[in-house]
Amino acid sequence: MKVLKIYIMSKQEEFDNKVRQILNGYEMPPPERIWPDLDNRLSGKKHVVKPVFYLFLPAFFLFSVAAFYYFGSKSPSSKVESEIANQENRKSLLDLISSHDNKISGGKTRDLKTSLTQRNNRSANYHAITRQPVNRKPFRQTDPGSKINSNENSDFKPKSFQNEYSNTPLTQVITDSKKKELSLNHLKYLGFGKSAIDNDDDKIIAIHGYHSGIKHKPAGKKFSGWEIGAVFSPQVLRFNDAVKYLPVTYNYQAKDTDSKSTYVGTTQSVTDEKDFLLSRSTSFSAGISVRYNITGLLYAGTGVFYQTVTQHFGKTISGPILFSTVKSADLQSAPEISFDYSYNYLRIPLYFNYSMYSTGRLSFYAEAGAAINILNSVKTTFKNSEQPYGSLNINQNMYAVTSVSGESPLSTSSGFISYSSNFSFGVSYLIEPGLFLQAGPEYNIMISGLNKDNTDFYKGLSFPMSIFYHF
Amino acid sequence: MFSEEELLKGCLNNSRIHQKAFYEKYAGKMYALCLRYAKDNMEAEDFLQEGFMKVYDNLGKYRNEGSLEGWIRKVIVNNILQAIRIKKIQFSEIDAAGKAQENETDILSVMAADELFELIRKLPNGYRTVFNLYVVEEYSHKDIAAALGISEGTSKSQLARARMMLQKMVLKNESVKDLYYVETRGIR
Repeated sequence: MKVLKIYIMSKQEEFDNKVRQILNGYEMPPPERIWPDLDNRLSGKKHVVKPVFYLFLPAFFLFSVAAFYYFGSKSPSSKVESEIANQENRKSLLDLISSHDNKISGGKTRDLKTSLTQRNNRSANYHAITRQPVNRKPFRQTDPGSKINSNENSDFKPKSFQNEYSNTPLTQVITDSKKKELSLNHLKYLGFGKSAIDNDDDKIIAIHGYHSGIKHKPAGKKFSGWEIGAVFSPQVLRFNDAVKYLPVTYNYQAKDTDSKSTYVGTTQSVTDEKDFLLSRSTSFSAGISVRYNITGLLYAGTGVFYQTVTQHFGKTISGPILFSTVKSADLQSAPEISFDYSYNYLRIPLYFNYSMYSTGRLSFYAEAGAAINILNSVKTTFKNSEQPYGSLNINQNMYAVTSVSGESPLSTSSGFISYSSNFSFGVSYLIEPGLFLQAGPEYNIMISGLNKDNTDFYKGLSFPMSIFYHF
Repeated sequence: MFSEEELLKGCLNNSRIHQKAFYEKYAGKMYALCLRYAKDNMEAEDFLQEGFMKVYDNLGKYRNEGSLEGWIRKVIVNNILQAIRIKKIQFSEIDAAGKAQENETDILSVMAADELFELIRKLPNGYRTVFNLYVVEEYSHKDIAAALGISEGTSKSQLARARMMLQKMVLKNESVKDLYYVETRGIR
């Protein structure tokens, strides 16, 4: 019986071996449609939203609010607006005018009645002045041209204006304004002058939402001017993981068992890339941007930014990877170790920003640019969750390695200059004339000599948030 | 043409050229593997695509221990097993009545790979899975039981029945039988 069983088993084994032998190396061409699907999936994999992005949002909000109050409190105009808003139905216009009478240029005034008479047949949309949600035509971005010049007559008389509307509730002025038309200077009296312009039809409109946040339109001048801003841009998505690293020299600290003395040493470089697995990466940039408003809608800008690209190598290393001989003592790292590499760049961009559409306080823009990135440093930190890094035996004393860090020597041949380009769309919000927030997604691509096969060093989507001030 | 090391590095760097070359190098064998486990071609394509995604994601874990092809095969088989576990295939006890013929192993020697391949694909799901794992992937019954969530006894019985059914199909295969008689006896 036993012999029969052995015989059967050997026959079965023979059969199995034969099957395995026949099927070994057997191939079947897969349908052609599989690779394109795979290609698409590879393009969109590993999109992890980084927690830092969520942490930044409240910070940015607080910063914006603080900036608003800081700049807002310094503006007489916003003070007037605030007063008007608070006393809209009760406060007499006279008080407002009196309190800001000294803001008006005496040489550029004219009589309100004259102005109103000249324009009383025109219909105008002043609803923007009231800031009430009423049906109104969309604001138009216009080149103010010479229309305002014609309004900037010298016949404006503050006293006449004052007499005309003394003890008149503001709501009445606004009601009147629906039938008549006020000049820019009149609106200034109402506290809206800083953001009022003419349009092509010689109708006065308020442009609180004008993208550039221009304080006011000086007669005969263009909307040009410098703006300065602070920008913070966290990475939201990362489209590739292709970041190589430079050879790094690792420094370590070791303490003896009583922690009485510390030993500091340097290990050899680790250059064998295949020992590492890149598991995730993050990036952000922050800096100062200055830009020039060329036409009212188009900006050219530059700036100085600090940019970091961080990548994490997971716990994939089995066996010692760091070796060093210090005073005849060997250091070996423990297995299961992880690394964080941080590439720090100085970024100098050149970009163009175009305001495509404005409505109210909002404006929508498109931006494109290119930048030079100078690699400033590469730092490496090690983490070991379970075991000590290793141990040293120096002069017969045992030292436990307590920390390991790395630095990379930089040179022109190590790809320390890289080039990047960016495209973005976003929205700009005018906090007050001259000050506005800007935010929107931005696609970044960076090419670096660090990747010897010329693959993209970094491709990602970031979310720049900025605050700009117009001089 | 890239070397294996170049392919690995390129894939780890997310280079699409290398990823495609990597796919083209191994897709044929892996598709055949997937077909052996899948109930139809559509399912095999799904197995292949999902399997390669897993391979790309985990390529950094490959430690140069054993062949790369073997490692890829393992990843893809694991992925297939995961899918099979989710689908909860039935390991039914179909009666493969009849004794195995004594010359089935000899007949196999004249059998073409694609004929045997097609016969294996005709096995019922449970038989086929256990047979593939035990005979081709060389899993132990213990491993199969753990991987499929069945008992070792079920694994053994499924294998025995799969073998028997396959042997019967081999013997019934007309073209193989004809070829066998020609080669062994010189007659038709």
